[in-house]
Amino acid sequence: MRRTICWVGAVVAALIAFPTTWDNLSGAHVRLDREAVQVAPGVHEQLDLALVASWAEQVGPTDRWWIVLPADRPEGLTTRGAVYRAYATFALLPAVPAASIADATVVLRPEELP
Amino acid sequence: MIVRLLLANALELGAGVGVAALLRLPLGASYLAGLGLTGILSAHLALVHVTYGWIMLVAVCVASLLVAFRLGRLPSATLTRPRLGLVGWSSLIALLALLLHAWPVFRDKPLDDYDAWAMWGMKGKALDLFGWANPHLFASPGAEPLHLDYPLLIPSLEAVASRAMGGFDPQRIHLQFLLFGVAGIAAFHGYFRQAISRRLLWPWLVVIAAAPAFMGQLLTAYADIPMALFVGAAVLASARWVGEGAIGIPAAPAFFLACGALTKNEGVVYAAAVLVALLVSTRRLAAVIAAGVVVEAVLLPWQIWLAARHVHTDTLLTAHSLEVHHPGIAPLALHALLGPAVALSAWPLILPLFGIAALLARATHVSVFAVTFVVVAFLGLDWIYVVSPLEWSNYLSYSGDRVIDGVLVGAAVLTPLLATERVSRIGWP
Repeated sequence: MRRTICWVGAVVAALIAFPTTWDNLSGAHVRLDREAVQVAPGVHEQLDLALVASWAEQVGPTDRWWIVLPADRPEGLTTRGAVYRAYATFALLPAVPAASIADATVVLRPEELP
Repeated sequence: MIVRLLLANALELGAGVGVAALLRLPLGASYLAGLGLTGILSAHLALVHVTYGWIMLVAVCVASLLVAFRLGRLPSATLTRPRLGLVGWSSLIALLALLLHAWPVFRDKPLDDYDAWAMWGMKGKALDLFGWANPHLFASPGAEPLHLDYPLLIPSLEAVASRAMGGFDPQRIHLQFLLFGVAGIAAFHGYFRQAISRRLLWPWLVVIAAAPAFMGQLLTAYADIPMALFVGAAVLASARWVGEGAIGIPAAPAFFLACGALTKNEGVVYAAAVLVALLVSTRRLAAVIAAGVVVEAVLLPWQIWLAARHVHTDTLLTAHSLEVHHPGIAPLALHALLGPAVALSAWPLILPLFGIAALLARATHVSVFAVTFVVVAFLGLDWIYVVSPLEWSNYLSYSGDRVIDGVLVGAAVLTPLLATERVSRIGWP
């Protein structure tokens, strides 16, 4: 009996799961060009991509950068400024975030963080 | 690019054959074991400035195959016609269709889920660019909000994949996660084949692979499902060890638990849950302690590196785990964790079916192990939110549906075992 219950349960569960996952996958399929892929995290987080692009122009591959954050606001478990910092850490590699402003070779001073 | 990724994964599979031979895993678990071994080696070597690329992939694969050869446990090439029946064939076709449907979705997915780029992908990209865990980034206070205390198994595997592909690709890297899913399902198939009937085996593989939470979270390129796959393999290996009379040291469970603990800090909770469940179900204290020592030994280089580099941790379960920041929220948090666990849109029917199977199996060693694992794991995950300094409701809403993956995958792989009389009758007096 146990096996029968388990088998019937598995078939029912699979019949519920499979179409849902199939549809979810179909809905998740996106085709982006190379440029859009590179900025996809920034687009997803609604960051000012022009601002980040200007940082990329100032920062070389061996630099240690520091962002002086203007007035910040909470966002989820973090803050808007921290999201910009996180994106900069990902996008500006192999340049790395400095340990402190004194340690930085490039200091970035955005006026505001949209 | 994708061909080179597949070649690297083939070498990782080869590396797992030796692990399977050494630990007496089913051959189907070789791929997952190979990903685990590659992850452990590449993560630890990254700490001492050794880059894990093609040379290491080939060397470890060859060494591993030699080990399997010496032990006389190389896979044989005998082909037998599978006898699956209607449901079996339907399930197999469903799995293949799902893989073919998922492949282009994973291939084209941009890396836009927050933790995927901010945490896992950033570290994977950095490991690829630097060739090692450069402390100017990996121990920098400037990068500390990005969870530098989380271990490097997943980023290292991303870096190995990136080196194989010729650089970090924010789209193709998702395929490594899909391949992780394939490795996990293959491992479960390997264990199921030894213990349960084909009639149950194939539908249950579909239940796991097609669960919306499983495929949906795999697509995010987060580490939760890879960790859950290691937990699932550890749970199956544990159930086998328990079912076979708990002889010797549970080395296979320890290996997969170590892989899980080196994937995410929450892996420690799962390791503790499995070890407690092993102890309760077998009362083999020395063997369980030995398994715990193995897990800790695998984690130790990373822990030493964190301590030596003064990397702050607010998530690692150390002394912080005793500082209760949110007394009284445990019932609420548990309720919030159970919500997605029973949601039809996430893990349909898995937990209810596990409950029924556990009830009907009654008091066997394996059922005691299974129930203890699920209960202790849920309580351990609940405790994370009680002691976390983060605002708990926000933290739960961001992570609650993912942190439970290991329990759900564990429950899913245990259910057909509990329903199989041959397994559930073993051992209990």
